[in-house]
Amino acid sequence: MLQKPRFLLQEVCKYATTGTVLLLAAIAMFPFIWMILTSFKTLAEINLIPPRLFPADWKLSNYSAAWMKPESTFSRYFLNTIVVAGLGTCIQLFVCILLAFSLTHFSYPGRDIFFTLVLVTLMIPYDVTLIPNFITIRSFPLAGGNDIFGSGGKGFYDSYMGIMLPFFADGFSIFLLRQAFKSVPGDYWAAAQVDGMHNFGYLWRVLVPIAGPTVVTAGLLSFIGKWNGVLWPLLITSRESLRPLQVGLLYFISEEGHYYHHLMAAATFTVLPIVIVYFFSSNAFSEAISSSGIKG
Amino acid sequence: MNGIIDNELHPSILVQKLPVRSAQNDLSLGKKRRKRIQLLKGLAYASPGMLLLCIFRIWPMFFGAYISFFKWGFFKERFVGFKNYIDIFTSDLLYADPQLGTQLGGFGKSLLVTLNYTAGTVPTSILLSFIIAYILFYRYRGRGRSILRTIFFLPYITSQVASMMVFKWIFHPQVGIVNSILATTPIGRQQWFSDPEPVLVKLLELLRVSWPEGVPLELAGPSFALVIIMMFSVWHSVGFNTVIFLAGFSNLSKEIIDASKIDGAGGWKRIRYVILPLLSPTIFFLSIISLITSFESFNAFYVFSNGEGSPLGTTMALPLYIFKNFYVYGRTGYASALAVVLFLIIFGFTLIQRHVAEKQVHYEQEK
Repeated sequence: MLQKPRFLLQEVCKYATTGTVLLLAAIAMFPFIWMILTSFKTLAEINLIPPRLFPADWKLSNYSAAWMKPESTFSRYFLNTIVVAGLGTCIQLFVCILLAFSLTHFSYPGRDIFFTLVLVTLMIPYDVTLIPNFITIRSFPLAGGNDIFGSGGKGFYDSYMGIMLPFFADGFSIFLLRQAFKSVPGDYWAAAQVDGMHNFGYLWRVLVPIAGPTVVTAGLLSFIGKWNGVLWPLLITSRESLRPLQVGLLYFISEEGHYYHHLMAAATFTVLPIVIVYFFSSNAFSEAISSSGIKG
Repeated sequence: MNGIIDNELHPSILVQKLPVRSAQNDLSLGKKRRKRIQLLKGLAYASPGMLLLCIFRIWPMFFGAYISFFKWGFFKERFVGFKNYIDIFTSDLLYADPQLGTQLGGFGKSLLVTLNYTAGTVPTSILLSFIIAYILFYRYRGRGRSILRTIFFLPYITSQVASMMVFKWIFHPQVGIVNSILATTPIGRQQWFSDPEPVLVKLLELLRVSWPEGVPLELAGPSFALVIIMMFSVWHSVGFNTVIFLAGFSNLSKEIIDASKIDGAGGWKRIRYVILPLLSPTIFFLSIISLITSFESFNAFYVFSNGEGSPLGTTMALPLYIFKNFYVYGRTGYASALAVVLFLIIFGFTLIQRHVAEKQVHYEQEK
């Protein structure tokens, strides 16, 4: 008989916890929902007091208006971002996989120093590297009219290379990949050797497929970072035709000011691609994080 | 591609002892020679990555420090020694005003903004994501757990420019949805973007108490505008922390949790005495990462007021202040000195955290 009130309490607790999580999820989703709803409204509708939840008429005109806006050419911005994020991610993965492989597969003096250096880069704040990197990129030897001492021209300033180059090697990706490669048993290497494979073939045809989820995760994080990057592209570009999406969006905000229905439409189509990419890779992502052994 | 992994070795191959020719284990090569090949190959694979890391991550630390000792505009002008640092601490952190006494300068104000922001966001985000992850992992029995996880993670992957704009729209002073709801309550509409008054003063006003004389107004917390950025930041970061916590929970050994159940440690006690100590390395990792991220937050601040730090500099965070000095005023040397100071502050905080953690963090024995 004594059990009964306690049982009731547990029931209440169960519903309370489920309710809390659902409520928090609703709060987390609200900005997205509000963004999409607003992007379909007319100027008159967004200025209603009190606001109306749903637009009276679902039309795509805000999207075309935002996309076609003469001062902003979103198709160009998209192209720039696809080049920077796509190509940048591929090169970053290539460079980081090679380094992670070197840190786990070979044994040589200095290997541990390399790994320590990789960990040190994780602790260096981004803003500290900003100004020196700007100068390094602008006075990169033998690039953009520079002589061998890095003066005379503008280096990689205002070029795709300038936007991408500083982010090809990323400490966190290297760390994740190393942990994944390290957990692959050495038997695979022995077996691969029997099959006549050498290091390079073993890396790309055995190790990378086995560590698939981690490679996908490193790629995903890198892609998201490059897609959403603002500060560095803002610094390093001046031509309008080179602006990536986020910088374009910044300029669009200052042009459009208070036309929030256009701004929300632009926000929706900048966010959408990354959400789609994430939905296709989210399983690999959670798998890789739980097996990376992140503990501090 | 799959053939290599799927084809199991036939036992007969092993019996025959096929000669395996490779640098690593070819016994016909001398030991010295093998070592040299390991070194050369290892360096070859490592070099592109290490070179890039050194040029764009390690070298900037030293180069930045070097720049900070110069008067440096668009180009290097002349060596000035510690002048930039002296300027930071004697006129930019605090300065003496003939009428008002000691006042916070631009750097001091922005440091205060960043400290307020960090104190408000880091603990909130970690606590909230712990609760979410705990419920999702141990309590939630409904369907769609992975969908919920995805929902909480979505804010983290969306562009800060786009989502900050949505937040501004939600808090729009005239037609925003928050003010429309507040208009129906006794609190009434608020000037979210233009009211520079700190929230603690506001709170006391609501209770009809005025701010105590003699206590500096700097202690009265963030302005409404900064609170919005803080809410944004918590919304943005909770998903990432939740994923890390979920990974931490799934790595906890199930036996210990079950044992604690048998020992009668229910809900709260189990969290306090079993889960939290076991999870302390994860919490430590998150607190360090969050602290660094919080001190280098730029995007949300920049988008919020288009880089102006309005109202009255209450959203001029330290990274934004450095950016302005560098990009708008063209004071490269001075901005570099500020960045070095920022780095030292972060470094100091990390050391303190580590010191505290040494007593608190419980590392499982490696098996």
